[in-house]
Amino acid sequence: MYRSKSSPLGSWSAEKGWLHELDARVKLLALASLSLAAFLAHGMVPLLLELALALVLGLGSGMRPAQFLRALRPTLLVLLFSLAANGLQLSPALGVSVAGLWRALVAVLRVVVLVMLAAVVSSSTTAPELARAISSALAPLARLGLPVGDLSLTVSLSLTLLPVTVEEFDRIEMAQRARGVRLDEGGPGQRLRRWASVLIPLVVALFRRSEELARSMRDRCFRPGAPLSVPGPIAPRDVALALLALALSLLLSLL
Amino acid sequence: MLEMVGLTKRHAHDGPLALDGVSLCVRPGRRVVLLGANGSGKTTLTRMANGSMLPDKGSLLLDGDELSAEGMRGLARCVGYLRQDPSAQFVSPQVLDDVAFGPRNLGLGYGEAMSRAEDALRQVGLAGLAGRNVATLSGGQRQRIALAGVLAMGPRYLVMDEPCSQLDPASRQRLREVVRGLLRDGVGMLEATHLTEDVVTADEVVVLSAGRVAWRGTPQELFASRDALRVAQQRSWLARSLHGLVASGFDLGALASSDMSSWASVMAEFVRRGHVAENGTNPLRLAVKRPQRAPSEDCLRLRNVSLSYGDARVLDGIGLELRPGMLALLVGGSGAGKSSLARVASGLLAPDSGEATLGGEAVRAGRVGLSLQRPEDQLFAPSVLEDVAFGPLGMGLGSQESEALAGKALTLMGVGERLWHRDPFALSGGERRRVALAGSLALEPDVLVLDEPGAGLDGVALRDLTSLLRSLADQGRAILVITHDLSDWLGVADSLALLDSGRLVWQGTMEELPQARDGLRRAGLELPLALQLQEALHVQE
Repeated sequence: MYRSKSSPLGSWSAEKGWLHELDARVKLLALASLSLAAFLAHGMVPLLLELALALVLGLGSGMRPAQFLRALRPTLLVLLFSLAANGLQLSPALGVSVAGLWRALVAVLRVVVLVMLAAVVSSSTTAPELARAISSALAPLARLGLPVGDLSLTVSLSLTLLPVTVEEFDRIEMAQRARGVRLDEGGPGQRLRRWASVLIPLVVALFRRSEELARSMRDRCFRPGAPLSVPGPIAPRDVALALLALALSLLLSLL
Repeated sequence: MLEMVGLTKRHAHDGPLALDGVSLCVRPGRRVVLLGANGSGKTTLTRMANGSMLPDKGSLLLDGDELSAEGMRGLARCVGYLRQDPSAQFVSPQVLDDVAFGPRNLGLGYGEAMSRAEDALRQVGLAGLAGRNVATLSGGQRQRIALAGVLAMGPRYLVMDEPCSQLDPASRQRLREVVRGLLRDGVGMLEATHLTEDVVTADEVVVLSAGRVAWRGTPQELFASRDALRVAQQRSWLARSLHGLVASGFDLGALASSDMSSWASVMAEFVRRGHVAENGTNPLRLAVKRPQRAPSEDCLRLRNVSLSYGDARVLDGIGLELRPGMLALLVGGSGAGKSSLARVASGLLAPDSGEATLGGEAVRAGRVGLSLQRPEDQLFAPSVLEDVAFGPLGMGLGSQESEALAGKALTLMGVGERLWHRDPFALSGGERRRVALAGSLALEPDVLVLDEPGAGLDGVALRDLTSLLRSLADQGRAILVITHDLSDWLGVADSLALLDSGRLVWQGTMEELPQARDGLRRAGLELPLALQLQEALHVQE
């Protein structure tokens, strides 16, 4: 079993909190409306409140602080850069602009809030639940002829194949390095040729894998264009929570 | 009853016949085993059995009714299919959701599909894994989950294409238990395999060769005939020994009806009663390799190596020495850390503590050849020679010198010159594996580490590989083979190291192996049957 060094963002944690039990559609709705509120909000106060909300919900449902930090890692560089870029003043004299820094801080905080909320949702919702919630949201479009069921399955398949692809990449990269291919040395032309030794087998492997997967799906009686399976009606408690989230978003955007 | 009559198939217009007039019958509660070399048509036949491939000529009958093309396509509803690669079958990251895929496709409502999925998971003994992410499971667990996904559709027949070949021995046993239960429930089975243990327990054996049925009969008849065994590619020690025993009147039914852990005593009992004809060569004799005195310079040494992935301790205080001229085995259960150890030993991963040295210096990538599972997956260049020469070229050697080294490596691996300028993807599986191994040898490393080099090879190719690696060792290289099929390497390996949860719990020569029995058992492995039998008979070599 190969353990790859890279792990995809938004991994579901198996802790059982009340947030895990909440209907995925409500969570997605709350995520959408709270994200919108984050964009419409003026100033630091509503953003800090949303951040606190995300942290409380996340920690309360079993997330570890490390998971929050890991979720932010990809955006960290850009955030720091934007802080620096806004905070630095070039004219009339080189120095620090307090107003610019404040502006940047608000923008950075917006992004942080979005990422945190997304992390909370993805750590308390399994991929199939997310896929089905998205399908039910898209269900009306089926009347327009859109293959919603197949789209939802494609999302699910991508999520399944992501760790497999990463594993495959790691394996091929190691195999080539082991026989002397120096992937991190040489000029751009050389390096391109060397990375071809990893990417070509990877693409071939992916094609082969998807062909085998397609056969496997046919063996399990899959037919494209099959009817969509939507989740049942939303429980009253969850409806109440959805309304609460909408109200909160409205409040925060007006503060 | 699922009946196949006169199936004929040609894959390419001008290509050879993949199947030529093959007829076969699968009855409820009976297991038919399909044998033959790789490329003999086994996979093609299994795919016709579940209707996923249509024959050019011939017919399929289900319970006496001939099926139309439409009917054949609908066979998947009652004929399940289990593939060799456990990882190629999942559509959802979550176990329960994936197992419910089949029932949902049959038109069942969400709730009912889920409850069928739960029942199927219980049937394979993995009810506790319902909420887990598939990527976190071992190969053996994945294969059982895949089987649950098939069983959730309630098939009357089950077709399996080498289901055990990528699994470790403990996982194979668990899969076999589930299969035995299904047979008792009346499911009819068709299984393609290379493993001798799985042939013994069959109800009927069909041997394919170049697309035709070359032999057909009961396991008892198969092991009685040396010719049949040859066509069936059954070259293992167990196959040869059973041939000797059956020739002396042994009844295979005694093995088929007892648990695999008591096979050694059943066979020993027969031998002790004096039934085995002594005609010069004792069929049970197995030459266990005696280690040679080896020079100690230029050793690959791992000293107190430890490695962690996050909070998980993968390797703990490993001390290992590989001497020139020796072929050593590294065995352990899945997840024991074998692959990580291979990477540290070949300089691809730096240990967190301790050191890996070759001839006194730290190991660098390229000085130790490393071949991972399915090495043919790393082939990419337009021609065989270019691919093998890529490593030396990358190390800065000139193109003429690189091609010369590549030629040497290819010749060493038995790849003829006429193949050197062909597209690697156009070669057969066995040839591609040899080309890939040549790639690891191009830089003329003194040490070679191979991770499951025999996986997926048929009997003949496996024998060729083990003797080839032995000769490479005899030429002065140090070779480490990671495997969970100990018995394939008994006659060629010098020593063995047993890894359990990141620690080396036993090291010694092959002769000393019986002392490791408890350690092996804890790691989910068993002493090879040959050694169990020698012990049971107190046979000394």
